[in-house]
Amino acid sequence: MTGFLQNINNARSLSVRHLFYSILWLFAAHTLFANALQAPQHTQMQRVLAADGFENVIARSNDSFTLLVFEDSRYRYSAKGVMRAVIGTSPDLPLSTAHSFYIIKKYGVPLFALESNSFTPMTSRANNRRILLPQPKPSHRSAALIALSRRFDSQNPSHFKSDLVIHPDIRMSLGDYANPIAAQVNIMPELRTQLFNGLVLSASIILPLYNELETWGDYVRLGPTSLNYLARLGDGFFLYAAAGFFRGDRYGAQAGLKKFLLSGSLVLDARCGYSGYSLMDKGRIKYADPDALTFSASTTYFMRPLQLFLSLGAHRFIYKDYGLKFQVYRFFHDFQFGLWSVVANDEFNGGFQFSLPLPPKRYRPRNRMRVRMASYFNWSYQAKRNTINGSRLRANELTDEMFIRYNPRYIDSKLTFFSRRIK
Amino acid sequence: MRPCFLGTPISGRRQKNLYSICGASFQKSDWEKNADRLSLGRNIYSLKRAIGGNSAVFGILLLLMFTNAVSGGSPSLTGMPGLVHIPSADFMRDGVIYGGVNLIPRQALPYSHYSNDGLVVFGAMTFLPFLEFDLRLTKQLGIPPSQHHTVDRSPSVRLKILRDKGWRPAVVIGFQDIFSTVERGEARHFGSTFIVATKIYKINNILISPTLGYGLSIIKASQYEFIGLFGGAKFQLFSQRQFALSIEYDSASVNVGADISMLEMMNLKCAVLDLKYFSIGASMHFNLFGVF
Repeated sequence: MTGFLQNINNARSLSVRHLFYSILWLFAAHTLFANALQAPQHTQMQRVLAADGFENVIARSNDSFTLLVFEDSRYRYSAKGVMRAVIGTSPDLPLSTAHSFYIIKKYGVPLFALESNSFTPMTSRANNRRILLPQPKPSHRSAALIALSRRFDSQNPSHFKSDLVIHPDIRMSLGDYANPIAAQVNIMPELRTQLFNGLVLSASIILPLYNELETWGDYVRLGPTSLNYLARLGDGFFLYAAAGFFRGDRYGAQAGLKKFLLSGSLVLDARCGYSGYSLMDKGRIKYADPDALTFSASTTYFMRPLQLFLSLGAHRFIYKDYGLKFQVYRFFHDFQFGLWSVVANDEFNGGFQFSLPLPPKRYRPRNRMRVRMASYFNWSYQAKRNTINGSRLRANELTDEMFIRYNPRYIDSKLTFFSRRIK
Repeated sequence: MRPCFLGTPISGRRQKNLYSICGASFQKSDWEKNADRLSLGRNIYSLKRAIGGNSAVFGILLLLMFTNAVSGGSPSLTGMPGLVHIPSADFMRDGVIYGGVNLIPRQALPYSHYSNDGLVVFGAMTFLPFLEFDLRLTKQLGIPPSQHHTVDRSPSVRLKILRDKGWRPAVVIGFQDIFSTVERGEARHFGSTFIVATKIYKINNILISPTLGYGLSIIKASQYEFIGLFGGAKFQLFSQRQFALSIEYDSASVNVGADISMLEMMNLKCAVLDLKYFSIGASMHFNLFGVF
């Protein structure tokens, strides 16, 4: 069977390959439906994942195929959530399983699929039972699997569940000799609610604690508040959009398309936005008419051996300046550190940014409302402060961060580490 | 069971590096092993009694107890791995991040036109196994607030070209103060582009690390460091690698210094610049892969 699959994969004729996969997946779908009531593992796997706090859970299996769909909202570290789901359901995999498939969702939208054709047999210490530990890899059949999963109802849906996320917000700037670093410290509670699949409302308020910067920083004010939309269009394309009040004192809207190539190693992105200046000062919102049309085209490449993302993009920035932005960021397990540089209007600027994981590693299961710390504390350093060149519209931060942390290749690289360790 | 500095030791030769707290066993860290080896860890108060209550001797012995072998390079007064002042081709391990503070005497600080001492706060990171980023903030001390002086920021990049292997030394290229907010370089006070080689030799129980480098003024700056030939050597006892002595020529003066590494993550530095002016510094480092 494996050799046959390889021959098919190497087939030059695309149509032959597509025809084969279509037949294979029709067969798989048929068997999953046909044996739905004969495999008690379904309910058990579904129960295990839902009890562990995973959302939008679907589990279907027969003697040789198993399909699991889940969304992780419990674990801070994306890879750990996937690991936990794979490990947690492995005792209930039938020993005759030849293929297991995992579809990972976020905000109710299927992002990618993992596939395991090889299994490490192990013995459970708890009950001395033989179990199979899958070795999942990114599947090139994501589209077919996701189409298949849409036919089943999910358990523990994520709709109308809210997180009250507490963000620490710290800004610093070089001051004078007596006070070399002027700082502003805020707490930013954010209410994040998923209205339906792919539609997320994020509303936040900034509570000042300490301020040595601008005077409006002394007052309670509106934080980034936006309606975010994410949809999978098929064939590795994602559509995302956001409208509202963004970081950097801007309001407006931005939408974009993202395409995953080479199982996520290469990501292409194009986006367009329209925005204006807006600021809340002493409880009053001040704004200017929207006048900035921004757009960009960028590409991101993931270098697996170094856990490194390289990104290069051509932009039209907020102040109508054109330029190039280069970013490189690396993951040190859950900690992310990056460097960036931008050339716009013949001016060069650069700096670094990092994402520091905040405790806890695991959150409570989500019911209607959950209060938790922000997963990461993000901080960015900009070498040249008094410049407007190279300013980007920071509208889609929710989905931008998610696409990095849920990159299939990145997740795969962490699962490989895990499987090496478990052996 | 005999009491231990941090819990109860587990008996048996094979488990001499374990101790237990509330029934759980833990691996001893290096400094705890050192403490056991020196027989100081059992009861810290009995140690103080044994030396007759002499606080200075007690302090020094306590310091020795917490020392650890220097791993990778210890930071120089510039914040980069190096000897006393000059950079070396030592590289911290992949993912190591470190930061610290140094006090530079005015006589060795051209940036202040030799009129003010300097406080250097630095941070560095081995971003990739062959690439390191450093950021140094230098504040002149004793300036009246009316002069509106804040701090000088000088970012640097170091690139490892060759690893120390066989007869071949490690070779590193460095770009110091690479980015300036003023285009023509007037705000660049620590400019240097250098290539440096370091080789570690072990002769019996002695580690000798000679360093030789050459600095150029390729990047335009108002003040430079390490322009021309510079070099030096670091000496360590293999069995006592927590201590290091260095002597160097930084293309302008001869400096000597000593490093003490403590608690697996701390490093203290004392130096005499130009064989006359005393300087001190302290730094901490940890590996991001180990923490997260």
